[in-house]
Amino acid sequence: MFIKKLTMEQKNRRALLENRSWLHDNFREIQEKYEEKWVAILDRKVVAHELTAQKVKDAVKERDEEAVIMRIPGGEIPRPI
Amino acid sequence: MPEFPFRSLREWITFLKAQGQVVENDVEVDLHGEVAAISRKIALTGAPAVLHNKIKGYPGWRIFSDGLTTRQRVAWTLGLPEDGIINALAQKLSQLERIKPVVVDGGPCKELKFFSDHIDLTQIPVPFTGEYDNPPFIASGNSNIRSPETGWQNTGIRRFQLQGINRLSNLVLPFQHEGIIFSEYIKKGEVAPVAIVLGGDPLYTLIGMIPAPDQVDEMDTWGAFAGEPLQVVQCETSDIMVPATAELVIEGEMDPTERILEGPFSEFTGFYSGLRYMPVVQVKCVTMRKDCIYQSMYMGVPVSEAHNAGHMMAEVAMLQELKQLVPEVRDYAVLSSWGMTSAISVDKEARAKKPGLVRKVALVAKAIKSSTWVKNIIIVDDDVDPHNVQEILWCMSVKFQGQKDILVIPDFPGTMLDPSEPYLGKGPGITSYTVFDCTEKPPPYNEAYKRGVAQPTDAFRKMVDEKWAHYGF
Repeated sequence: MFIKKLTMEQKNRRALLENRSWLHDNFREIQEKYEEKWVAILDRKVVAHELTAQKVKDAVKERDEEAVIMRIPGGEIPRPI
Repeated sequence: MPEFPFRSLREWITFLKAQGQVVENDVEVDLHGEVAAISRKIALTGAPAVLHNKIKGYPGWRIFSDGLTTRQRVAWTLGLPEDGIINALAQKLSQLERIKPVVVDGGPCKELKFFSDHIDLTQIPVPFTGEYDNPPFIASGNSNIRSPETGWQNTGIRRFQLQGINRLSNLVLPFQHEGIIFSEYIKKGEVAPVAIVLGGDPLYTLIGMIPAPDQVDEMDTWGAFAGEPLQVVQCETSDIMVPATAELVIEGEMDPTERILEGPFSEFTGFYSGLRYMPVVQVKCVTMRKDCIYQSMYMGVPVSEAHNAGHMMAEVAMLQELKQLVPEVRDYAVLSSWGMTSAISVDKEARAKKPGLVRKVALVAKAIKSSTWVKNIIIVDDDVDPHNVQEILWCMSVKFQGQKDILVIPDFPGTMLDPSEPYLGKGPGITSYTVFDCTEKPPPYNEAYKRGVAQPTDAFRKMVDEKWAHYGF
């Protein structure tokens, strides 16, 4: 089932995971800059930031890749365990 | 034709097909919302389960979902009649003779094995649920962890967000069994082996949702229901046991200190969860069937397969605990969001003879172990079906006065997953506990009730039920 040549969808998912990992590694800095804003992350950088999700989606809609789109919360991030 | 107990997901699908309860979909489906939207529509309409045969970008894979979306399908899984299933299941659980699993040499879940550099979780077709839970979550996996102190193996349905080609995050909550066991590893400073099972038989999926007593292995409960031991195999990288017939097993280790950003997730509350730092599962091995079926379970705005199955299991656990302490309780219904709003029926005659019984029921209902997430309780008499929302709203309309029939107690244990949680989910979670007494009231407030419920007689209603088709309906 695991194939050697990745499909476009699988390559996109890999890129999505890399961008998510970049978000984790740089979260403090991203939070300082974009707290309570929606951001889109592609190619390991924030490529759009807006007050609404729709505006961020509009900003990256021409891109083929799958962006990490999320609202950056303010304050301490909980660590339950 | 397979019959209860179903020993694999495939036996279950074959049985459901024979009942006309599976649609085989040959139209290619997209993981970006289409699979989830189909599940949502199945839950809203009570439609059959679905086996998707073509997944865009994932040749050779199939996805099965919604095997547990209706009460009838859950009843088949448990080998119980649908009518009165909650009481029947509670009774069965109170009389269980648990049977230990039996270890077998091998099984279909070991047909393919991938280790180290050959592991690539991006090649598993994990569907998105909501638009913003990216990367998506494995939301149908039963997580298994073994206590380093006692050897107790816990099995529970959990969610795992893809975090890399060989990394997942795991929502481990400290008050749940997995969290209690993981805390033992944290104290020792040791990594915790875990095994995530996808596509187990339907009973195995369900037992991961039943709150079990401490030190009880859910796989023993499987044996009690099935009347035979669950056949298990040992994991490749730990001493954890998993069902031999599973579709897919992800083995990994959780570091005691490493945490990663988890969320947002399409939560059972119907809103996205916030971001949290959660333990990381470093994947060591993936074993699977050659023609693996990925089992998907939609989560998000109710209703859904996860809500239906989870609510039933929560109802059973709470009814069982509650009846032991207050025998006058007759039934328990989860109305929404894993019990955050629930209804309880009590023996009407006993309640009339025992002033204060409603408050006793209400307080015990929040004191029992499985009620952590309960925040609103509606109490009705036992001539009302607590599972019937129309009947409950009727009782609230005609038997309830907010001035005297409501009880609000602040600062009870709740859940941080509640979007309305007063501390914004930054702690373990607290809640106001609100009781709505919708029972018939004692004198002098019962004058209207003495005149009786206005409806045709039981005899005529029964006769009409029997003749319904003859009328041309």
